[in-house]
Amino acid sequence: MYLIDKDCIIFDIKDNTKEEVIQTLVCKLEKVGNIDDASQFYQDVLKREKLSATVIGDEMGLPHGRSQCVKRPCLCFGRLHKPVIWDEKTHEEVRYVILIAAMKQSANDIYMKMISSLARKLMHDEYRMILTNGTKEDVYRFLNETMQS
Amino acid sequence: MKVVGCTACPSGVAHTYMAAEALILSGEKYGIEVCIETQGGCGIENKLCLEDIEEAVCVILSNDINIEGEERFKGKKVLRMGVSDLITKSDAIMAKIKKTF
Repeated sequence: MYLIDKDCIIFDIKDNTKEEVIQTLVCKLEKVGNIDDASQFYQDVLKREKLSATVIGDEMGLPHGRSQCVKRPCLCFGRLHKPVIWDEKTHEEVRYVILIAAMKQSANDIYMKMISSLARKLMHDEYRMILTNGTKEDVYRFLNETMQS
Repeated sequence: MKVVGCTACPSGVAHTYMAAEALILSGEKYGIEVCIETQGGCGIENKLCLEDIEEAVCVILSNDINIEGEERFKGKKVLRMGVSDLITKSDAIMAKIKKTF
């Protein structure tokens, strides 16, 4: 029972735009077999971004989609070489990205609980520090240990 | 002092919960007890009870999508805002509430 594969923690991404970053993370999820159709999921995630950009402060972005092409709920984490603009309107930039892939019908399931618990933890500075400064091992442990609390 | 609220967003994956947590944390900073019902991917959680609603000085509701059971807050002072704003402005919101009530 876990949310993120070790392969899905990527540091030093050299993309220049938000779209490129999302594409990179989505492709990784397809590669490890967690989603079926990368181009469809990419569109789903962008659609959500268009409603309102998912920047949550401290250069952190939380793009996500609930989609039929998601085989199992999962995450992909990216730390960028340099920040990219995430919100066109406010020009807010993002450097740390957690892509969340959830299934269309997953109300009340245990994965949704893990994701919601993770979302809550991201409001706490001490957890954000792990994403901004931690090693891959730290990030892996944090993102998979969200069941407590 | 007590404040209650409900959060919900279009996909119900993350912002519903982040907004709830941000409001609770900011409440702690200002000595305000904050109870937030989340209506997200996990269904309805931390459902507000009538006593909490009665005791609350005001109600915070996200306005990105419909909140279920809004009639419960009839007659209360209601603050409506998008979930993203609730997340980024939670401190300012609590400071304002503290000052106003």
